[in-house]
Amino acid sequence: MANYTDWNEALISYFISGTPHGTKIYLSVDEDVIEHISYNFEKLPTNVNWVDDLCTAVKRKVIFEGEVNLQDLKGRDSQGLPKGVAFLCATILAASQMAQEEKISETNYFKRLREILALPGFSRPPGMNFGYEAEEPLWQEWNLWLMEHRFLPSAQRGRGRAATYINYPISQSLLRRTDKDKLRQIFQEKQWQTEWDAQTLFTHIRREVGKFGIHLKELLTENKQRHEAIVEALHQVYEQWKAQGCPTAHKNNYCTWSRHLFCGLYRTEDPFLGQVDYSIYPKQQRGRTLKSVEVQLGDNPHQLTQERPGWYFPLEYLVNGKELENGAKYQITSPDDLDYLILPARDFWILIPDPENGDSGAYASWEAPSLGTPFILLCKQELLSDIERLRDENLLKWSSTPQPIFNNSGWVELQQCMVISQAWDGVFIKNQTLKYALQPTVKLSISLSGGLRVPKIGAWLVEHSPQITIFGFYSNAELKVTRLSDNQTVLESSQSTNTSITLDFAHPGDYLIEATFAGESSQRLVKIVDWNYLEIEKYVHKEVMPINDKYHIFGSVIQANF
Amino acid sequence: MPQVQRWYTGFSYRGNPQDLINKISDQVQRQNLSKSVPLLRVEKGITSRRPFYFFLAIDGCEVGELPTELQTNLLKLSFFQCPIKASRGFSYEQIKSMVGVAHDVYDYTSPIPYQARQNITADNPFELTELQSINPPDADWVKASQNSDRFLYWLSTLGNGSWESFKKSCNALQLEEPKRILRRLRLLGHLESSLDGSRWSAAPSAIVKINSPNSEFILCGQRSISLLRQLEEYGIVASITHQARGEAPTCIQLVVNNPDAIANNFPIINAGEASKRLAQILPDIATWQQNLRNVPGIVPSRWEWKHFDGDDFQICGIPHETGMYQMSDENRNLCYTLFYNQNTNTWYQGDWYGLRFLALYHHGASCQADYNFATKCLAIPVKQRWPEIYERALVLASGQLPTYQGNSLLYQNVSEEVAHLLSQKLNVKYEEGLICA
Repeated sequence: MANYTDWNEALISYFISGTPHGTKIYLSVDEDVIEHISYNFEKLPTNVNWVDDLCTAVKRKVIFEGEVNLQDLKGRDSQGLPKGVAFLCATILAASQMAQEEKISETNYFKRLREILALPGFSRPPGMNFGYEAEEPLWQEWNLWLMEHRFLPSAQRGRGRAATYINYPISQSLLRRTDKDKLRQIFQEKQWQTEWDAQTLFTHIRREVGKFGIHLKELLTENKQRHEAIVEALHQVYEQWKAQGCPTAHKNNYCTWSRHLFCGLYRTEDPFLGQVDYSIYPKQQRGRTLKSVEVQLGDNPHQLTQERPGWYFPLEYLVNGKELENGAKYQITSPDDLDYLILPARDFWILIPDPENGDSGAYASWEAPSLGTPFILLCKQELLSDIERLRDENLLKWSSTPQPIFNNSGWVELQQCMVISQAWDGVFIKNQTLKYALQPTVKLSISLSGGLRVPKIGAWLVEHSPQITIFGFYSNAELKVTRLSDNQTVLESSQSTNTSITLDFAHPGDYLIEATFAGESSQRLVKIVDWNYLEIEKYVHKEVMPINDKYHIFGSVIQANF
Repeated sequence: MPQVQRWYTGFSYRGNPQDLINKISDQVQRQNLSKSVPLLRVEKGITSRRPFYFFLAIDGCEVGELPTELQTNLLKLSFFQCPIKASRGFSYEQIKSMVGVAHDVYDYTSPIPYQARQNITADNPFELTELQSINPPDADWVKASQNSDRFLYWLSTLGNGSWESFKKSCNALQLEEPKRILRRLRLLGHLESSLDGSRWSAAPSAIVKINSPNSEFILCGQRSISLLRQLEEYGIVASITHQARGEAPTCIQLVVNNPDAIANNFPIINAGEASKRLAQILPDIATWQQNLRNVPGIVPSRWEWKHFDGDDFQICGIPHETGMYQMSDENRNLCYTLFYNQNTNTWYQGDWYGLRFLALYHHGASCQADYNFATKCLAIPVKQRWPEIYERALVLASGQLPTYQGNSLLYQNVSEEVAHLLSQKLNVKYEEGLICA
């Protein structure tokens, strides 16, 4: 049996491991997730029902004399982790069980929660009489912890009396059990086994939207901020299904991690000679902490080292035209439960400037470009007619003629591309994947630029704050800036969109910037630090000045050549 | 849910085109029709005298069927009296032949204004020009010194980065002339650049023994406020001295009786007597030249050239003689400053002052250095500034950048051995004198 603290730590680790900063986190816990997490409990027997194990641990922690007592779950533990996450996950299990079986309502939700807590009855369990003093503080602690660690929270109160507090757990679920079963059924029917990345898989699933139930259909067709989370969740289901050996839907009875890592592209350009290179940029698996990964590239083994959450350092291996065209698989030699690092075969890549350090000159496939962000579109020449159509319809712009790359490869780069319009629905092009990738899913986005940034910690120096631009398809938006430490509103005003403003963040701290209009909102975190906060980066041998054929110098340190 | 599709409906009109555009736009915005009418396209260059075509983009569920709201709220305007007949509307390709490829487009969907990012300028960080005048210190030098220190803290936290990020941060901290700042930081042992200048990396924290009978050291490389505080608490910080005009991070002098203890207690390397060591192992000028970065593939006839005559750059033809040259494009934009060796037909890149020194050397110019034994000060004519790596050996003797006195650069605390050794290697006439007394 794992105890409550074990579960609490393991759940938190699962939802943020391998996840890039700035991601909106959904505690989309279900049986599959709990099975995955159970792998962390190495010494425990394998025939345990892990959902029951979690529920038992939660019950033991919070139930005293037939009542729920959440006092001990408030605040953080000795490692600084919010103590209530395992309990919150139990509430999410209750919400997802309710959603699958019956109408969403407070009564049904609390009935399910009471079943999990082994407390008979229908209404709020004793000890949880009022949401604002029972479970809401736990949600608020989790949300605050996420923001302090540079993730965006997704859980929030509902609107309307009945939905106020049950909206917290309901908002966390993405794919239901029935959705996953249906997806696996489609995978089986279509005999899909290709190594698609998340974006490409989404296009294929989206084409089958007519076969899905209302809930999954909504998830696939909505344009909301959780689009990226849904795309990622779909890919996890697909990868897991393949790792299980592509079973038929009803045979899905165990969970395993995907046996592959995927990679993106990392582009660098010599600023003087103009030489452009593409490197393999391995992505971490979400939810999983891998201690050591080794990949064989040509004759050389390469150790993967984390560069930033969600990504390993780009490998010193340049992609050639053939690999770009056909994709590639690179053997993973360690650990044993991983087979390949996969460069997917695609028709295009969207490369954005480094979200952590826009001045680095590097572009990579980190994420979809946010509104107002110019990007590089690397694509097959045959896509140019589609792309020109998008430009003709005033949906997309770029700055110069397409530049060929890799002599005679049939691939080109379009520089400084930017999506300028929201009116994509009526325009159809041959390459649907391209359209889904470029069509904006939101109407508002917050951009931070200028100032003096400290990329390693995602912060700006005090007195050198960033400029804020709300990019969007509205003429103005409500801007609110909140200091996280005391929840104080620092600024609340109406601002014009698509124009930079300078805010003076007079004091160091973590701030949440929110832009809202017409029921839609966008959020961005900004950390302001003072000079005392800066720590010396661990020295890694980089540039040296040769002195002669025997010695070189770096700074004041003279060293013999190796 | 029915699928939305975009198609075009066209009209012919004779009249004031600007009036048409204004009134249609006004009506679309006022009646909130932009979801159905995202775009208006109008022929370019119209005069009021002849009829012209214009097209409305329609996003609707049925191609060819105008949404009711348009019929009620827009099409009653007089501009729409002459529709172009088409059974199921037009596609974009079809209308292109009627309004031309370069027509005017009015977008009602509140598009985001397109703005390309400023391209990274390919300016070479090694391309300097000779410093024309030395500004006298003013009241702002204290602020400049503080900003220089802060800049080093920032560099130390990042560890490494691009030339572009270096420049932008100089700009944010109001530090002028980033190329000179980069050079000064290298001289002081705080960072290194890649050979092409595109990347920098902060040097590790190190203590360097300076020329002194006592256990005096300077702190080079990465630093932070926290580290300085710890060193102060450890009781080894002797002084903190501003650089001249605040144009570089302050010099931290330490008294260290047991360097190994420092290396054990702090993440600091003991670099020893770097100045002396460097002077001993640096090659002579001819060998130094051979080791410079070779720049292949230059086709002289494709560029414009200026030759350094010992004083200034003069326009010249295609280079044939050994010397220092400026290479510019056809618009006279400077691309590179290079050194040409006619014997090997090789082009070299290096620090600007170093290439100039090479040019003086090859011209047979008499370079000199004056050393004051009493003050341990070495004076070098400004116009004969040494190659950077040799100059670094001088700077690391004190941790201070040179000061200016008349036409000379003065380097403090240089040992006679270092001054003599380096002068020999550079073929510089070395004299002991009273200068900088």
